[in-house]
Parts: sequence; structure tokens; C-alpha cells
Amino acid sequence: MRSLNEFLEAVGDKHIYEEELLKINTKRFSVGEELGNFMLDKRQLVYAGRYLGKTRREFLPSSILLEELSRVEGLNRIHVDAETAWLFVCGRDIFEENVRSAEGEFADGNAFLVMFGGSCLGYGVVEPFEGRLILRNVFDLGDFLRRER
Amino acid sequence: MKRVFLERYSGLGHSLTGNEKTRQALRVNTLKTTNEELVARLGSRGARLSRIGWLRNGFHVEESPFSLGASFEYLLGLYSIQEAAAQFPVEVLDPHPGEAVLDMCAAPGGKTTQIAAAMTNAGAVVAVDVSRERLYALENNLERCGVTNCLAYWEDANAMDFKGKQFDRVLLDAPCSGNYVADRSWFSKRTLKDVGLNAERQRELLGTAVKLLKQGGVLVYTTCSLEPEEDELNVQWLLDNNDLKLEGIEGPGSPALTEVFGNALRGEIARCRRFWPDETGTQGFFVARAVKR
Repeated sequence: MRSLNEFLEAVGDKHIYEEELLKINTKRFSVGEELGNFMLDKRQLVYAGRYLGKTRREFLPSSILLEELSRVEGLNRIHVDAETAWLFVCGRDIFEENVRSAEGEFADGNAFLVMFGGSCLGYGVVEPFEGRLILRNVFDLGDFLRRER
Repeated sequence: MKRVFLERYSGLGHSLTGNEKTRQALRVNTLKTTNEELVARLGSRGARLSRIGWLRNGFHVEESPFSLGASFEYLLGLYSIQEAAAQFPVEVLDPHPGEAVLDMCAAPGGKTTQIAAAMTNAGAVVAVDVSRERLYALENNLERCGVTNCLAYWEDANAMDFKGKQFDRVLLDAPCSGNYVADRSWFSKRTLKDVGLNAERQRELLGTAVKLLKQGGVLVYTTCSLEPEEDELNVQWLLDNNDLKLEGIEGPGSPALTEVFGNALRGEIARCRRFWPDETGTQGFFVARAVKR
């Protein structure tokens, strides 16, 4: 999932019109009209409006987008307990047996938002691992701490 | 230098030991939760907070069995770790939804996120900083706290082309000499020459701030310096060179100085607030609020 729309499709959401988004290097933003009035020299701009995510090897959604998606009905989600949630935000994958419930089919190749207590902590992709399935961690909120090091 | 600085403070009528401390504090992010919800949520996990009476969303941390800088709630952006005095300038600025607000030296963004929260993400916050490294922290804070009404620019606010834009409110949290409460090695790093250089730079920024302010707009000037050259003397310069009205500030701390090392200043400067660490239990701080006529 290299792009925002590939990510949205993988978790079951609709595409958005990427051409209308503002690009700052690999980051994608949506900027409303009111804020757009204060657009000055774009070469100096580092952050603008609603941050959606960035593309590295895979698309990394922003926590703002994840929070929005956590309120959308019908998307792929798994729910986990506190211990699994903490391991996930420490960058770990999630074994199938640690998934308390899943909305959507927990099958190879499917992407899921990871939910704990009503909050979205990140997302991952289901993959086979040593004869069982895991949710491979693609992005989690612990990234805030890791990127500040 | 410790003795030199403590003697200066004594000369300003205030005896300090140089060992004053502040307490860990946090600010509830009202874009995502409420004071009551956060206190209950952290309380259920054993963290005890006490309300700071002179702040809308500020709490002291009495105890916590886990690190508040690495909790689920922190990662979800429900609060920011922000020293009590550092929360005060944005309360004095008092931004409202729909306004245009400029944060001139914004990184690492604690006050920027506080401004956006007060505006409920409605209106425009323009955040500017000269340091790319510190702007990375600002970007992280904006994202973590769910801010969607901010444009952040990497530029020196003095050199930036604002293309004729003017703002309802401007926060100038100026780069300053800092104070020893926030930095234990402060006395060994600072000289009086630094203070003079910082004061010069601050005046340039103040001049720019006034130009960018709409008529009737509010300027809040703040530093975490205890040195009068960076505080009261700069406000005196500001009033001498611009048509501004200094407004009174309700809150903690003392009225700012109107006599500095034997020189009398304008009496209205007493309307600004000065946070002496031994009185407020915070780091040193200075806050002024002025309206452009």
C-alpha cells in the first residue's frame, strides 16, 4: 500500500480525490479555504491543515486520519486488550489468538485498524507466520516517541 | 555566574536561592477530551492530578505509577506535558474560534497546540520558526494533538514575507536567555552579554509583531527570562516606539517592575506579570499584553 487511496481501500473506506491534496515532500494534507487564505511561500511550508499521512515504503496514515477512520462504520477493525495494545504501540505484531474480536475477515492480505478502548492505535496487514496468522504492524502511535529520539 | 545573577535579582528587590524548582504539569487537550474525563481516565490507572486554579486546563501531577510522557493517553494526544507558567501566555492571548492568530517563534509547538485548542480548530493559526530541527517537534505535536487549522512555516519571522496579511492576535514567545529553574546548568552557560544580545533580537521581533497586528489586535509578549532587559525594558521600548495600549493581566505572579537598577520605567508596565520562581512555584516567566491602537 504505497498510496493514501490504496490504504483507504485496504481498510474498507472510500477513495478521496488526491489531486486536491497539498503535497509537502512525501506528506499529504487537506487545506480548507479559510486556512488557504494564509498560504504564503509554499517552499517554506512544513505543515498545513489536516495532515493525512506520508508515503515511505508503505503509506503511513497520520493519527488524525486514524482517529477519523475509527468513527467510520463498516471498516476493517480488530479489537485488542491492554497488554496487546501496549505491545502493538511498542512496534510489535499481533498474533491471531490475541485478537479479541474482528470486524472484517482476518485473512491473509487484509488490512485492519487496531482498536483499544474506542481509540485507533494504528494499522497492520494480515500475513502468515510460522503456520499461523499475524497482523504485521505497519504503523502505530508509538511512532511519536520513536521519531523524537 | 550564579552569584552575579542572584545579586542582580536581589538588586531588583527579590532574593532567590538559585535552587528553586518547578513541578511537573500537564495541559488537557480540549480538542480531544475534557478535564473531567482525563482526570478520571488517568486516575483509574493510579495517576493523581491536582487542578492549577489559575489555568483553564492545567494540572499538577501529584503522583503517577507510569511515565506520563509515554502513556496511551499521551500518544492519543489527550494531553501535553507543559510547565504551568508556560501555559499562561496563551490564556492571556485568549484566542477565539474563527480568528487569525500568528505564533511567531512557535517551535516546539506547546503553545501552538494550545492556541488551536482554544480556537476549537476553527480559524487560522500561522506558526513560524527559524529552526528546522525544532519544527519537527512542532509537526509531531500538531499531529498528536489533532490540530487541523495550522500552517507552519520554516523561516525567520523577521525576514518572512507575509504578503500583507495581518492578524487578530500575535503571540511572541521570544527566544530568550531562559532561567535556571528549567535548566540546572543555566548559571554555567549564561552571561550578561547573552542577555543584551537576546534583548536586541527580541526588539526586532517586537517591531515585526506590531506591523503584523491588525488595528485593535492583541499582542502577547512573553519570555521565560528573569532579566529585565528582556522583559520590562523591552516593553518600555515597545511603548516608546509604537502606538499600543498595555492591558492589565489577572493571574498569578507579581506586577512587573517599574524601577530597574535605579531607573524609573513607565508606571503602566506594572500591568505586566512577572513570575518569580519562589512565589509561583514555577519557572521564571514574564507576560505582557498590549492592544494596537
